[in-house]
Amino acid sequence: MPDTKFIRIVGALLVVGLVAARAEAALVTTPLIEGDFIWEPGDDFDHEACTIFVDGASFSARVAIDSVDDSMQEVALSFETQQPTNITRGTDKLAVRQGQWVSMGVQIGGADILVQVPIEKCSLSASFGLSKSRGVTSLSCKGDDLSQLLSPTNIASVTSAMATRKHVKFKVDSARKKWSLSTACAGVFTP
Amino acid sequence: MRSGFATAISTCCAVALFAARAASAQSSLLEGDFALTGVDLNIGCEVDANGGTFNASGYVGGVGTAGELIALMYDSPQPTAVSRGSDKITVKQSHFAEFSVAFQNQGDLPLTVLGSCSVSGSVSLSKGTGGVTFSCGGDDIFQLLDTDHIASLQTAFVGRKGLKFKVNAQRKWSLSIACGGVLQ
Repeated sequence: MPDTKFIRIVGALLVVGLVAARAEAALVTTPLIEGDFIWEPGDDFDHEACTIFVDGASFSARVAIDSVDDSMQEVALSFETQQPTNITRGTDKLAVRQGQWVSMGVQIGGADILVQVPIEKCSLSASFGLSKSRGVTSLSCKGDDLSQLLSPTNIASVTSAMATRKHVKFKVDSARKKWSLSTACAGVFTP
Repeated sequence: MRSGFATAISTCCAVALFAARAASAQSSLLEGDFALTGVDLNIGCEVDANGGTFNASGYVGGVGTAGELIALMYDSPQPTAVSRGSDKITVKQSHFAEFSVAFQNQGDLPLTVLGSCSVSGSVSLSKGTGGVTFSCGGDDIFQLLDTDHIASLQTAFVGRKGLKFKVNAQRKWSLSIACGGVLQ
Protein backbone atom coordinates (compact mmCIF):
# COMPACT_ATOMS: atom_id res chain seq x y z
CA MET A 1 0.00 0.00 0.00
CA PRO A 2 1.66 3.27 -1.02
CA ASP A 3 2.33 5.94 1.57
CA THR A 4 -0.21 8.66 0.82
CA LYS A 5 2.02 11.36 2.36
CA PHE A 6 4.84 10.29 0.05
CA ILE A 7 2.60 10.49 -3.02
CA ARG A 8 1.34 13.90 -1.98
CA ILE A 9 4.85 15.29 -1.53
CA VAL A 10 6.08 13.80 -4.79
CA GLY A 11 3.02 15.29 -6.46
CA ALA A 12 3.92 18.73 -5.09
CA LEU A 13 7.49 18.27 -6.28
CA LEU A 14 6.24 17.32 -9.71
CA VAL A 15 4.12 20.44 -9.98
CA VAL A 16 7.02 22.68 -8.95
CA GLY A 17 9.37 20.82 -11.25
CA LEU A 18 7.05 20.92 -14.24
CA VAL A 19 6.40 24.64 -13.86
CA ALA A 20 10.13 25.24 -13.74
CA ALA A 21 10.58 22.94 -16.72
CA ARG A 22 7.98 24.78 -18.79
CA ALA A 23 9.59 28.12 -17.97
CA GLU A 24 12.96 26.82 -19.09
CA ALA A 25 11.57 25.11 -22.17
CA ALA A 26 10.93 28.40 -23.89
CA LEU A 27 14.66 29.12 -23.81
CA VAL A 28 15.74 25.84 -25.37
CA THR A 29 16.05 25.40 -29.11
CA THR A 30 16.62 22.22 -31.08
CA PRO A 31 17.36 21.70 -34.78
CA LEU A 32 13.99 20.01 -35.38
CA ILE A 33 11.90 21.78 -38.03
CA GLU A 34 9.44 24.42 -36.76
CA GLY A 35 7.28 26.93 -38.59
CA ASP A 36 4.44 27.76 -40.91
CA PHE A 37 5.15 27.09 -44.60
CA ILE A 38 2.92 28.06 -47.52
CA TRP A 39 3.25 27.39 -51.25
CA GLU A 40 1.19 27.81 -54.41
CA PRO A 41 1.25 26.03 -57.76
CA GLY A 42 3.35 28.22 -60.04
CA ASP A 43 0.83 28.04 -62.88
CA ASP A 44 -2.23 28.80 -60.76
CA PHE A 45 -1.11 31.02 -57.92
CA ASP A 46 -3.69 33.27 -56.28
CA HIS A 47 -6.20 30.45 -56.69
CA GLU A 48 -4.73 27.60 -54.70
CA ALA A 49 -2.57 27.74 -51.57
CA CYS A 50 -1.21 24.88 -49.52
CA THR A 51 0.08 25.17 -45.98
CA ILE A 52 1.90 22.94 -43.54
CA PHE A 53 2.37 24.00 -39.95
CA VAL A 54 4.30 22.77 -36.94
CA ASP A 55 4.65 24.56 -33.63
CA GLY A 56 6.19 22.35 -30.94
CA ALA A 57 3.76 19.48 -30.55
CA SER A 58 1.01 20.92 -32.80
CA PHE A 59 0.67 19.99 -36.48
CA SER A 60 -1.67 20.79 -39.35
CA ALA A 61 -1.91 20.92 -43.14
CA ARG A 62 -4.36 22.92 -45.22
CA VAL A 63 -5.49 23.42 -48.81
CA ALA A 64 -7.39 26.54 -49.89
CA ILE A 65 -8.96 26.88 -53.36
CA ASP A 66 -10.48 30.14 -54.58
CA SER A 67 -12.51 30.64 -57.74
CA VAL A 68 -15.66 32.30 -59.10
CA ASP A 69 -18.87 30.69 -60.30
CA ASP A 70 -20.96 31.46 -63.42
CA SER A 71 -22.47 34.51 -61.79
CA MET A 72 -19.05 35.79 -60.68
CA GLN A 73 -19.65 34.99 -57.03
CA GLU A 74 -16.52 34.09 -55.10
CA VAL A 75 -16.35 30.42 -54.16
CA ALA A 76 -13.76 29.34 -51.60
CA LEU A 77 -13.13 25.76 -50.54
CA SER A 78 -10.80 24.85 -47.70
CA PHE A 79 -9.61 21.53 -46.33
CA GLU A 80 -7.81 21.03 -43.01
CA THR A 81 -6.24 18.18 -41.05
CA GLN A 82 -7.87 18.79 -37.71
CA GLN A 83 -6.90 15.29 -36.54
CA PRO A 84 -3.69 14.21 -38.31
CA THR A 85 -3.23 10.44 -38.48
CA ASN A 86 0.45 10.30 -39.47
CA ILE A 87 3.29 12.70 -38.83
CA THR A 88 7.00 12.56 -39.42
CA ARG A 89 9.38 15.36 -38.57
CA GLY A 90 13.11 15.76 -38.76
CA THR A 91 15.54 18.63 -38.99
CA ASP A 92 14.80 19.19 -42.69
CA LYS A 93 11.53 17.46 -43.53
CA LEU A 94 8.02 17.58 -42.23
CA ALA A 95 5.10 15.45 -43.35
CA VAL A 96 1.51 15.65 -42.11
CA ARG A 97 -1.19 13.27 -43.28
CA GLN A 98 -4.77 12.64 -42.35
CA GLY A 99 -6.11 9.47 -43.94
CA GLN A 100 -9.78 10.15 -43.27
CA TRP A 101 -12.13 12.70 -41.72
CA VAL A 102 -10.40 15.74 -43.20
CA SER A 103 -12.53 18.83 -42.56
CA MET A 104 -14.08 20.79 -45.41
CA GLY A 105 -15.22 24.40 -45.45
CA VAL A 106 -17.23 26.15 -48.17
CA GLN A 107 -17.76 29.87 -48.61
CA ILE A 108 -19.91 31.29 -51.40
CA GLY A 109 -20.22 35.02 -51.96
CA GLY A 110 -18.45 35.58 -48.65
CA ALA A 111 -21.02 33.58 -46.67
CA ASP A 112 -20.10 30.46 -44.71
CA ILE A 113 -21.98 27.52 -46.18
CA LEU A 114 -19.97 24.78 -44.45
CA VAL A 115 -17.61 25.47 -41.56
CA GLN A 116 -14.97 22.74 -41.40
CA VAL A 117 -17.21 19.69 -41.48
CA PRO A 118 -15.34 16.37 -41.15
CA ILE A 119 -15.71 14.22 -44.28
CA GLU A 120 -15.13 10.52 -43.67
CA LYS A 121 -13.67 9.62 -47.07
CA CYS A 122 -11.37 12.58 -47.33
CA SER A 123 -7.58 12.42 -47.07
CA LEU A 124 -4.90 15.07 -47.21
CA SER A 125 -1.13 14.53 -47.37
CA ALA A 126 1.41 17.33 -47.22
CA SER A 127 5.19 17.33 -47.01
CA PHE A 128 7.80 20.03 -46.99
CA GLY A 129 11.59 20.08 -47.24
CA LEU A 130 13.41 23.02 -45.70
CA SER A 131 16.64 22.61 -47.68
CA LYS A 132 14.80 22.67 -51.03
CA SER A 133 12.14 25.02 -49.68
CA ARG A 134 9.61 22.97 -51.59
CA GLY A 135 6.28 21.48 -50.61
CA VAL A 136 3.85 18.97 -52.08
CA THR A 137 0.23 18.38 -51.13
CA SER A 138 -2.40 15.99 -52.39
CA LEU A 139 -6.06 15.93 -51.48
CA SER A 140 -8.71 13.37 -52.30
CA CYS A 141 -12.30 13.43 -51.07
CA LYS A 142 -15.49 11.68 -52.00
CA GLY A 143 -18.93 11.06 -50.62
CA ASP A 144 -22.21 9.37 -51.34
CA ASP A 145 -24.57 12.27 -50.88
CA LEU A 146 -23.45 15.86 -51.46
CA SER A 147 -27.04 17.03 -51.00
CA GLN A 148 -26.55 16.28 -47.29
CA LEU A 149 -23.98 19.05 -47.21
CA LEU A 150 -24.93 21.59 -49.86
CA SER A 151 -28.12 22.89 -51.44
CA PRO A 152 -28.68 22.37 -55.22
CA THR A 153 -27.85 26.04 -55.82
CA ASN A 154 -24.60 25.76 -53.88
CA ILE A 155 -23.66 22.54 -55.67
CA ALA A 156 -24.17 24.30 -59.01
CA SER A 157 -22.06 27.20 -57.81
CA VAL A 158 -19.19 24.95 -56.64
CA THR A 159 -19.37 22.90 -59.85
CA SER A 160 -19.04 25.90 -62.15
CA ALA A 161 -16.34 27.49 -59.99
CA MET A 162 -14.15 24.38 -59.79
CA ALA A 163 -14.48 23.71 -63.54
CA THR A 164 -12.15 26.66 -64.16
CA ARG A 165 -9.43 25.49 -61.79
CA LYS A 166 -6.58 23.76 -63.55
CA HIS A 167 -5.49 21.49 -60.70
CA VAL A 168 -8.90 20.63 -59.28
CA LYS A 169 -11.07 17.73 -60.36
CA PHE A 170 -14.58 18.02 -59.00
CA LYS A 171 -17.34 15.67 -60.04
CA VAL A 172 -20.91 15.23 -58.92
CA ASP A 173 -23.46 12.89 -60.46
CA SER A 174 -26.69 14.03 -62.07
CA ALA A 175 -28.66 13.30 -58.90
CA ARG A 176 -26.29 15.65 -57.02
CA LYS A 177 -25.40 12.86 -54.63
CA LYS A 178 -22.18 11.01 -55.39
CA TRP A 179 -19.26 13.39 -55.56
CA SER A 180 -15.48 13.52 -55.60
CA LEU A 181 -12.85 16.22 -55.44
CA SER A 182 -9.12 15.90 -55.84
CA THR A 183 -6.24 18.28 -56.24
CA ALA A 184 -2.48 18.39 -56.07
CA CYS A 185 -0.40 21.35 -55.15
CA ALA A 186 3.37 21.57 -55.50
CA GLY A 187 5.43 24.69 -55.19
CA VAL A 188 8.15 26.68 -53.53
CA PHE A 189 7.73 28.18 -50.08
CA THR A 190 6.87 31.86 -50.30
CA PRO A 191 7.65 33.58 -46.96
CA MET B 1 -43.75 41.09 -48.75
CA ARG B 2 -45.03 37.59 -48.32
CA SER B 3 -42.57 36.34 -50.91
CA GLY B 4 -39.69 37.99 -48.99
CA PHE B 5 -40.90 36.43 -45.75
CA ALA B 6 -41.15 33.03 -47.38
CA THR B 7 -37.65 33.37 -48.81
CA ALA B 8 -36.29 34.39 -45.41
CA ILE B 9 -37.99 31.45 -43.69
CA SER B 10 -36.85 29.09 -46.41
CA THR B 11 -33.24 30.33 -46.17
CA CYS B 12 -33.34 30.11 -42.40
CA CYS B 13 -34.66 26.54 -42.52
CA ALA B 14 -32.12 25.54 -45.15
CA VAL B 15 -29.26 26.93 -43.07
CA ALA B 16 -30.55 25.17 -39.95
CA LEU B 17 -31.02 21.94 -41.88
CA PHE B 18 -27.52 21.95 -43.34
CA ALA B 19 -26.03 22.98 -40.00
CA ALA B 20 -27.79 20.07 -38.32
CA ARG B 21 -26.63 17.65 -41.00
CA ALA B 22 -23.11 19.00 -40.83
CA ALA B 23 -23.05 18.64 -37.05
CA SER B 24 -24.03 14.98 -37.33
CA ALA B 25 -20.73 14.07 -39.06
CA GLN B 26 -18.45 12.84 -36.32
CA SER B 27 -14.88 11.70 -36.71
CA SER B 28 -14.12 8.29 -35.24
CA LEU B 29 -10.42 9.08 -34.74
CA LEU B 30 -9.09 8.73 -31.21
CA GLU B 31 -9.01 11.92 -29.14
CA GLY B 32 -8.07 12.72 -25.57
CA ASP B 33 -5.57 12.46 -22.73
CA PHE B 34 -4.88 8.86 -21.79
CA ALA B 35 -3.27 8.41 -18.38
CA LEU B 36 -1.71 5.05 -17.57
CA THR B 37 -1.08 3.53 -14.18
CA GLY B 38 0.64 0.34 -13.14
CA VAL B 39 1.25 -1.37 -9.81
CA ASP B 40 3.72 1.29 -8.64
CA LEU B 41 1.73 4.48 -8.12
CA ASN B 42 4.92 6.56 -8.12
CA ILE B 43 5.46 5.77 -11.79
CA GLY B 44 2.94 7.40 -14.10
CA CYS B 45 2.68 8.31 -17.76
CA GLU B 46 0.31 9.70 -20.34
CA VAL B 47 -0.29 9.78 -24.09
CA ASP B 48 -2.26 12.73 -25.44
CA ALA B 49 -3.86 13.45 -28.81
CA ASN B 50 -5.94 16.61 -28.91
CA GLY B 51 -6.76 17.62 -32.47
CA GLY B 52 -3.36 18.23 -34.04
CA THR B 53 -1.43 18.35 -30.75
CA PHE B 54 0.36 15.29 -29.40
CA ASN B 55 2.44 14.38 -26.36
CA ALA B 56 3.92 11.37 -24.59
CA SER B 57 5.07 12.08 -21.04
CA GLY B 58 5.69 10.58 -17.64
CA TYR B 59 7.18 10.89 -14.19
CA VAL B 60 8.81 8.78 -11.50
CA GLY B 61 8.94 9.59 -7.81
CA GLY B 62 11.56 8.15 -5.47
CA VAL B 63 13.27 8.56 -2.10
CA GLY B 64 16.92 9.57 -2.24
CA THR B 65 19.65 10.20 0.33
CA ALA B 66 18.41 10.97 3.86
CA GLY B 67 14.81 10.53 2.81
CA GLU B 68 14.95 13.23 0.15
CA LEU B 69 12.08 13.07 -2.30
CA ILE B 70 13.01 13.16 -5.99
CA ALA B 71 10.87 13.40 -9.10
CA LEU B 72 12.03 12.67 -12.66
CA MET B 73 9.90 14.03 -15.50
CA TYR B 74 10.03 13.62 -19.25
CA ASP B 75 7.92 14.58 -22.24
CA SER B 76 7.88 15.13 -26.02
CA PRO B 77 7.68 18.86 -26.80
CA GLN B 78 8.53 18.22 -30.49
CA PRO B 79 7.24 14.80 -31.56
CA THR B 80 9.08 13.30 -34.53
CA ALA B 81 6.57 10.56 -35.41
CA VAL B 82 2.88 10.14 -34.73
CA SER B 83 0.36 7.55 -35.78
CA ARG B 84 -3.32 7.73 -34.91
CA GLY B 85 -6.35 5.62 -35.74
CA SER B 86 -9.74 5.01 -34.22
CA ASP B 87 -8.28 2.60 -31.66
CA LYS B 88 -4.56 3.31 -31.32
CA ILE B 89 -2.23 6.26 -30.92
CA THR B 90 1.56 6.24 -30.91
CA VAL B 91 3.65 9.32 -30.22
CA LYS B 92 7.41 9.28 -30.49
CA GLN B 93 10.20 11.81 -30.17
CA SER B 94 13.40 10.09 -31.20
CA HIS B 95 15.77 12.80 -30.00
CA PHE B 96 15.69 16.05 -28.04
CA ALA B 97 13.03 14.77 -25.65
CA GLU B 98 12.78 16.83 -22.49
CA PHE B 99 13.99 15.57 -19.15
CA SER B 100 14.06 17.30 -15.79
CA VAL B 101 14.67 16.46 -12.15
CA ALA B 102 13.19 18.01 -9.01
CA PHE B 103 14.92 17.49 -5.64
CA GLN B 104 13.01 18.16 -2.44
CA ASN B 105 15.94 19.60 -0.49
CA GLN B 106 18.13 21.04 -3.20
CA GLY B 107 15.66 22.85 -5.40
CA ASP B 108 14.76 22.20 -9.00
CA LEU B 109 17.42 21.62 -11.56
CA PRO B 110 17.12 23.40 -14.89
CA LEU B 111 15.37 21.54 -17.63
CA THR B 112 17.69 19.42 -19.71
CA VAL B 113 17.10 18.82 -23.40
CA LEU B 114 19.57 16.27 -24.68
CA GLY B 115 20.07 15.11 -28.22
CA SER B 116 20.15 11.51 -27.12
CA CYS B 117 16.90 11.58 -25.12
CA SER B 118 13.97 9.75 -26.66
CA VAL B 119 10.42 9.04 -25.58
CA SER B 120 7.86 6.73 -27.14
CA GLY B 121 4.29 6.15 -26.03
CA SER B 122 1.28 4.23 -27.25
CA VAL B 123 -2.25 3.39 -26.16
CA SER B 124 -4.87 0.96 -27.38
CA LEU B 125 -8.44 1.77 -26.50
CA SER B 126 -9.78 -1.71 -27.25
CA LYS B 127 -7.17 -3.36 -25.04
CA GLY B 128 -7.42 -0.66 -22.39
CA THR B 129 -3.64 -0.62 -22.04
CA GLY B 130 -0.61 1.37 -23.08
CA GLY B 131 2.87 2.42 -22.13
CA VAL B 132 5.56 5.05 -22.42
CA THR B 133 9.30 4.42 -22.51
CA PHE B 134 12.02 6.99 -22.04
CA SER B 135 15.75 6.65 -22.50
CA CYS B 136 18.60 9.06 -22.23
CA GLY B 137 22.32 9.06 -21.77
CA GLY B 138 25.46 11.10 -22.01
CA ASP B 139 29.23 11.19 -21.80
CA ASP B 140 29.64 13.17 -18.59
CA ILE B 141 27.03 13.19 -15.87
CA PHE B 142 28.98 15.86 -13.95
CA GLN B 143 27.94 18.34 -16.61
CA LEU B 144 24.41 17.92 -15.31
CA LEU B 145 24.59 16.93 -11.65
CA ASP B 146 26.94 17.24 -8.69
CA THR B 147 28.07 14.36 -6.48
CA ASP B 148 25.25 14.81 -3.95
CA HIS B 149 22.60 14.73 -6.65
CA ILE B 150 24.06 11.62 -8.24
CA ALA B 151 24.25 9.81 -4.90
CA SER B 152 20.67 10.76 -4.12
CA LEU B 153 19.46 9.58 -7.55
CA GLN B 154 21.26 6.26 -7.16
CA THR B 155 19.71 5.72 -3.75
CA ALA B 156 16.27 6.51 -5.13
CA PHE B 157 16.31 4.63 -8.38
CA VAL B 158 18.99 1.92 -8.63
CA GLY B 159 17.27 -1.44 -8.54
CA ARG B 160 13.83 0.08 -8.98
CA LYS B 161 11.52 -1.95 -11.21
CA GLY B 162 10.95 -0.31 -14.59
CA LEU B 163 13.88 2.05 -14.18
CA LYS B 164 17.58 1.71 -14.95
CA PHE B 165 20.05 4.37 -13.93
CA LYS B 166 23.74 3.70 -14.47
CA VAL B 167 26.89 5.76 -14.09
CA ASN B 168 30.26 4.22 -14.94
CA ALA B 169 33.76 5.08 -13.79
CA GLN B 170 34.28 7.23 -16.90
CA ARG B 171 31.27 9.37 -15.91
CA LYS B 172 29.13 7.99 -18.74
CA TRP B 173 25.54 7.63 -17.71
CA SER B 174 22.29 6.17 -18.94
CA LEU B 175 18.73 6.30 -17.76
CA SER B 176 15.76 4.33 -18.99
CA ILE B 177 12.23 4.36 -17.68
CA ALA B 178 9.41 2.02 -18.68
CA CYS B 179 5.90 2.86 -17.66
CA GLY B 180 3.02 0.64 -18.64
CA GLY B 181 -0.37 -0.21 -17.39
CA VAL B 182 -4.07 0.18 -17.83
CA LEU B 183 -5.93 3.25 -18.96
CA GLN B 184 -7.33 5.22 -16.08
